[in-house]
Amino acid sequence: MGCYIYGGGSSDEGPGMTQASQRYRPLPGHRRGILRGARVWMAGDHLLSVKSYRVREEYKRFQFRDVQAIVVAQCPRFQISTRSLLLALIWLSAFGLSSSTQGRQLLPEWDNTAMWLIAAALVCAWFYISFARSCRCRLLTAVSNDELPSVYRTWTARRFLAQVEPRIAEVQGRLVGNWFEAVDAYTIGPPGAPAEPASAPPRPAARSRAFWSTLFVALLFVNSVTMLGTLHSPVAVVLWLASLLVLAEVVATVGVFLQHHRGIVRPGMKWLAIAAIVKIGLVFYVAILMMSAASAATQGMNRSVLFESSTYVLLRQIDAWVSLALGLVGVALLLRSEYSE
Amino acid sequence: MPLPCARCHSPLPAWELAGHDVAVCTHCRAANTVRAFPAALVPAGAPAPAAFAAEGEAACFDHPSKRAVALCGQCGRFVCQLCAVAFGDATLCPSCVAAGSGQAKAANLETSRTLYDSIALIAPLISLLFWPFTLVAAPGAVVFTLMKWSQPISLVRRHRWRFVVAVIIGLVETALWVWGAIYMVAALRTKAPA
Repeated sequence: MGCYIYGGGSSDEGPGMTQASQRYRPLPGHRRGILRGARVWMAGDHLLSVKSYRVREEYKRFQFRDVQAIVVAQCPRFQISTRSLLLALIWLSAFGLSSSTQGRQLLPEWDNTAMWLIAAALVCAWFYISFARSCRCRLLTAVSNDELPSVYRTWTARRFLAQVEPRIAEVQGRLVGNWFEAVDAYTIGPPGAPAEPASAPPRPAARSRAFWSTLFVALLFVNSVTMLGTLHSPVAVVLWLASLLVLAEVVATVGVFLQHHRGIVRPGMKWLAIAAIVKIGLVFYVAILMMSAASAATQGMNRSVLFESSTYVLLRQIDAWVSLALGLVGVALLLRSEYSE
Repeated sequence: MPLPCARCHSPLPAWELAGHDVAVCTHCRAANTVRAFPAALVPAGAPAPAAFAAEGEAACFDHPSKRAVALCGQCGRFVCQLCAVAFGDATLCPSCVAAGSGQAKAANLETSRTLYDSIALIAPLISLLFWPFTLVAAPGAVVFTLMKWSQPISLVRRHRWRFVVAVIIGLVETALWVWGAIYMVAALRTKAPA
């Protein structure tokens, strides 16, 4: 036969129904990142590697009959999972609680030392696991050599192999005798560049200079310069200008995200847009908190007085300088050669 | 290329693979646990060339000079060795696979999906970073959920709880906006006579 497409299905099934109706079972190993995740699932006749990007999932199937080898190499992997972040958050909350209640004797006096010991133990454990108990797992077929990002700890790899190996052996059988002597004579994995997956779709060359990215960087500079220039201007003017510029900046970041999604601009510009959005949000909430605190402290204070207070001016100065720094990073990204990567 | 190291892609030497469960890479010194399967020892190569059709023999629809070896399970065309696409237990022609109709629908293996349920959930949550945007994002999430409810979600996840949570959050945020607007109007009315 010319080629094989595995799956099968009856003719009355809808689009993608063959895959949708497959019962997938999760295999050991789950990479949980803030923005990215990965997991391998097992169906009746294939493995499904799922890479998730929060709002999108990418799939790759490995038929049991095609798998040539699974290789797990022990190597350091310093992954920060959402679980680690959750632990850090719990520790921070507990530390904040213990610090704030010290005066009231709600917690024992030695809690501060204990908290730091717990933190040190957690960090040491993370370093030990990342350095000595981590691995990289690759799955080879005749046309691909793919890393399985979800399998990055040695104990996970052991459990993964324990579940997958019998299934593949069931389909293919087992290698017996001195197979390792014959292996050198065959091509394992895709010929040529072994690290690149053979089916990676060609993407158009992304660049940094596009309409929205240029507008976005320009707005960062305009925002910065305007804020620095109106630090002591009347409140009404400042508020209107700041609101308009923030709105324009948000619109420009949305444009950058869309262009990145379409493969027009590089990821660097996307990350810059994310940083700008986070900055806008932080400044917004810090400003609200500051004004709430100030109005609570001085009841009935005029709003314009609050806006002209030194702390608010300082916040705007910080905002302006951060915008300027982001703008400079943006210029660097714009000036990068379009063919450098 | 022989078995590569999973860390540095250097070939693992045969003497390391012999008799050991772990093969140490001579280049990066990484300990590799190797599981090889019989598919590794299948010689790589192109499929067998299609034979020429003799006088009176059925010929391939796309290659009239080639001998037909099968019928397309979808459209019934004759296909040669080169054109026959084995799909499960059936044989299809390349045109049917490309068209993706009927039995060949399932041949269009999806390589990615947009997770509409995650988008619906993230929108009202992320807009909290700059809360005035919830005015748009909250009802937007509810409308988006209603529009995309029947769309396929993840290939591996089968629950639509994200849609449900998105609607709940969207409705709560919208209700807060409505309550805020009513409160403001009431406050303005009570101030007006004074």
